[in-house]
Amino acid sequence: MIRIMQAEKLRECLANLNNVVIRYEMGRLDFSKLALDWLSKAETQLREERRPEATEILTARTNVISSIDRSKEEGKHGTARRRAEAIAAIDAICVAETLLRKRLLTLEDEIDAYEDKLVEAVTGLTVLGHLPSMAGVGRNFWAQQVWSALETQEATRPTAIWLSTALAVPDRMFLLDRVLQRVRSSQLPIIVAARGPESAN
Amino acid sequence: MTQQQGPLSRLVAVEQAIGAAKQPSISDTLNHREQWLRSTSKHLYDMGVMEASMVVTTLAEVQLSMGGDLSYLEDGRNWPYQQRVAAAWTLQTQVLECLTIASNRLSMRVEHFEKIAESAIRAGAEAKLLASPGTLPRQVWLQAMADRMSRHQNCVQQVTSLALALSEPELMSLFDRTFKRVFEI
Repeated sequence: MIRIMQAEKLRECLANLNNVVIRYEMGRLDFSKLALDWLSKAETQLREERRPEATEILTARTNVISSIDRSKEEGKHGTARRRAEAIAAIDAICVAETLLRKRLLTLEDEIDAYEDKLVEAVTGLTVLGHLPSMAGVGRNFWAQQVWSALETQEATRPTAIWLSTALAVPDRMFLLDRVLQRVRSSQLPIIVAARGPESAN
Repeated sequence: MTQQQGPLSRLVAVEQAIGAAKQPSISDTLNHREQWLRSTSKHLYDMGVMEASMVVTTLAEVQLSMGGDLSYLEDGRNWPYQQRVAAAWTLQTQVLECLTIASNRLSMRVEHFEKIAESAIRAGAEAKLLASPGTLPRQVWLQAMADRMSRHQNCVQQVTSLALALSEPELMSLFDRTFKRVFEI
């Protein structure tokens, strides 16, 4: 799976956690159900990435379900039942949050490392005067031209080969686009001169 | 796709949150503190600081341990004062731990860029490219120094790589920090 998309999905999942916890604070009776839905999404997310941590979330989710069943069997009502279910749900949410966050931070570190490599290579092109001009070409075509230059220039070829074996094409082009975005907006004279005037396309 | 802020902006946001979290007023109630943490965690999420989710789960855990049945929300005023103060302090301690973890992680990334900036500035100083700010506005002076360094062979590589790794405002902010920290200018 594409790293950038993985990271984005994890980020969304963690951002949604706030809405789930707010339901608990509001004393909503559907809190446990919402927590279970969130846990299920978190588990699916890690399972899609074939991460072993998905099993830990499954176990945590199972604990919530069994706690709900136990409360029913024991004939708990009102506050006591709500409290028992909330304890199990929040425990499970904490476990899942830790796993998702660690996974996301690992992915972000990896993405940063690849981006640093790409920055090094594009710096090489810029300093040596081999950065293709963006004059008269569209954004995507320019990105492709820059990638071709990275692959063909002697100084940047090893990095380009390494990046193309380590990253899927969408990841590589996404990161290159992010770096080129800074090339477009930089005010440094060397970069302004290297990029040429922007295309009207 | 979320538009994340750069590492310097994220670090500044976390440092500001730490500063504010360390200064509770005497009248600071638990609910007030929670509201503040809720908006802070939302701000940190938006900035791309994912430790914000730790803040959210910490809030839930403390609420559970202090009441669980949400009685303090339903009838907060009846809660004993001491218990409310204790809950607010527990919350503060745990949230500070979360923010410190975020700060440490982001500091490492910023330090990586600071080392490159420091090496560029030192090379610029050796090549006698640098001038004191004089009466120039700080931003204008920083931009002028960056331009000068980017034109010299001894520092062009470092400055260019920083400009390609960071947005323009983050780059200026990085030089600002590095000039202040290393050269006390």
